[in-house]
Amino acid sequence: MTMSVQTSNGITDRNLADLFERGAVFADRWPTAVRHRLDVPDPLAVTVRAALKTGSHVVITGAAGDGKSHLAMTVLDDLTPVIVHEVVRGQSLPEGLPEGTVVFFRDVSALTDGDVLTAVRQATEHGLTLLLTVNEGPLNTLAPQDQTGFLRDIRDAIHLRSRGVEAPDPSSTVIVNLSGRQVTRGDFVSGAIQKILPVVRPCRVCGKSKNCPRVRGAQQLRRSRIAQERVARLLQMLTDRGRHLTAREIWAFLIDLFFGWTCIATNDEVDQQRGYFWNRVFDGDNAIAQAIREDFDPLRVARARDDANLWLGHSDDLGISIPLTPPRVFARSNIEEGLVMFTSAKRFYFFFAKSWDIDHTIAAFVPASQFGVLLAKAAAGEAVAAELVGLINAFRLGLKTREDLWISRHHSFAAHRRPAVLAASGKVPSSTLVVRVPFSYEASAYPRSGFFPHRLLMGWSGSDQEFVIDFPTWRELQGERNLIVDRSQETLDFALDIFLAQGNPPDAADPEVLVYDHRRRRRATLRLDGSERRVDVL
Amino acid sequence: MTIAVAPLVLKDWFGTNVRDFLCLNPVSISPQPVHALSMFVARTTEIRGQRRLSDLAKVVATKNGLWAVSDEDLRSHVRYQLPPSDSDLEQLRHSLAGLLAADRAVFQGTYSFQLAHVGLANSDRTDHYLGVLASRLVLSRPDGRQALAAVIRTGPSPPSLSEHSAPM
Repeated sequence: MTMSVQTSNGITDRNLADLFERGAVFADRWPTAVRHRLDVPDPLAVTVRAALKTGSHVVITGAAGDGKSHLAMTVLDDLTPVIVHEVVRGQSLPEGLPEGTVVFFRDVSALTDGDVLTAVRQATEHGLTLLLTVNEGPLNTLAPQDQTGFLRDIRDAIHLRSRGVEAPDPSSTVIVNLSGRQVTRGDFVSGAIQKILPVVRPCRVCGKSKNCPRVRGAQQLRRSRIAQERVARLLQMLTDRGRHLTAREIWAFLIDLFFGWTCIATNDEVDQQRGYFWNRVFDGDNAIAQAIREDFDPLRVARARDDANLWLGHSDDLGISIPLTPPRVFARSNIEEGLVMFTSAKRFYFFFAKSWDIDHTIAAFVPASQFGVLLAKAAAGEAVAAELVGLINAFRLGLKTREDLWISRHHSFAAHRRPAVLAASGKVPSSTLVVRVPFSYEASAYPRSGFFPHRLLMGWSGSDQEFVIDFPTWRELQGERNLIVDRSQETLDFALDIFLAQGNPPDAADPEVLVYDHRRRRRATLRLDGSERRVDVL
Repeated sequence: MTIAVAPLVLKDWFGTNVRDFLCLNPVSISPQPVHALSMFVARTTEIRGQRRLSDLAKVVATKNGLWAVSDEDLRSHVRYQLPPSDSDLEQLRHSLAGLLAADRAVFQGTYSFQLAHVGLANSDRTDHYLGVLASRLVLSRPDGRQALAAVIRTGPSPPSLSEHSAPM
């Protein structure tokens, strides 16, 4: 019999399990009691609460699913005895609201522009405190219409910060842009796992059976902090490439690991493997599982001794107990079933084996993790311009130098043929280049909240022009140069042509021209002597 | 069932409405853009001084996948000082060809170089008059010369822009 734990706010484990069974991951629609029960502590809530208590306006922006409304409502739940007035469609603010009242816009998208602009004006005129949750799109629409200038200042600050430009909060206002937050880099994932695991129950086919993969998997995960960390690490791996995972997406993924599985009536041990979370992380029928699988699957990592022991079921040699029948047993009668069991055993081992240095493995197998390291270095304030310059020099001129950025050019026009030869006669020191880190302001103002760049912006000192280096660009820069039609490389070359054209290397009277022929993979340096009408090959 | 339909004859209509403005041959792979640009720049600028583009064409022109002019002939005909070593000369020819003849529009007789410098512009009739047409369009506007001057970045010896419209 499943015991239902009654909590102080009246929400039972069964209530939560029902919620998860339905896949109800819209946190802003959770009743207050559910919100309390599932709330993952968020350092930003402390910031927002403190701001409101001191009468500062708070604007929370971000994409759908980032948790704007959840953050606001979690703060308001504990903001007694402050009076909160929620703006609703078609109604202006009532007269006589006392000073210090928090005027709450739960979702600006659900209101008309007129409702929002009128309420903002009234609130600012009467010394009331604003708490807005708004997507960036509506904010862009509203900002030019706002006569008070409040929304315009917010929009401008958000835009600048998202490009890595320092822009402090406007006076008496706190801006929280959740678009720049990677919740995989905080404690959110482990916190959400802790909320889900206690309420996992068998699927409806298993009924009360404790053998349901949902329950057995959850029990294993509850006992292993390492395994929980590794689930979080795989999600972080996705964000290393700059992908923004929302809180809602992560909730949905974690819930689906357990509640998305239903056993079939005739299942046996082989069939059941698909229901364990350590397989569903990679094989689940959702976009995140698919993305993880494309980037990394421990099955693709050859570990000869471990693989042999997993196949044979030698738990003593592995150092941990694998709760599965050894694959070799099934393989005697059916090799396919043996391979299914081996897949499951290998993935279990990945999550639970202390001896497996998964950071090392992921760094070796997943290019995105290297990009994540680059972003982390830039976010920590380390100089990365030289590293990026090295990539550009290599891509354009086959050079390994990082100290100077060669201003490489070609003059080809033909659309059906890519330039095979590029040349450079000037260079500028890497140290003169500026690398901007998006959301660095937020990362500095709210440490431990997960603000992290999704790309880097490289530019010239004193210039607004930027070369955007996101993960696809970073990968492309390291790729083998293609000399036939390749739209990705052509786009990159075009961007570099424009960017490098802004470089201003010192003029040389008799320049040396560095030429690299990508087709023949040969480099030459030509010296041009105008007065002697002479060309030398150095 | 077969329905006989009179053929649609557009020759007269094209003759009066289209050919008066512009004629393009859509099945041709020539002119390359580099032909048209070269002619355009040549017609809109006045470039003074010796350039010896025909010598340069001898250096980089190819024919049937080989150099159109042999090394020996090159040394005897070209008035630049070339590298004495054959391997260096080969390297030079490949480098310059990759930079200045990337669009394969340079032959011994007719040539349009990649415009790495305005001074490489040349009147190459293989542009099917597109460059001439473009230059006439630009120079026919009062502000055309200024617009062109803003686009062309000139070196130490800037060419002056043409004062007259290019003849058709």
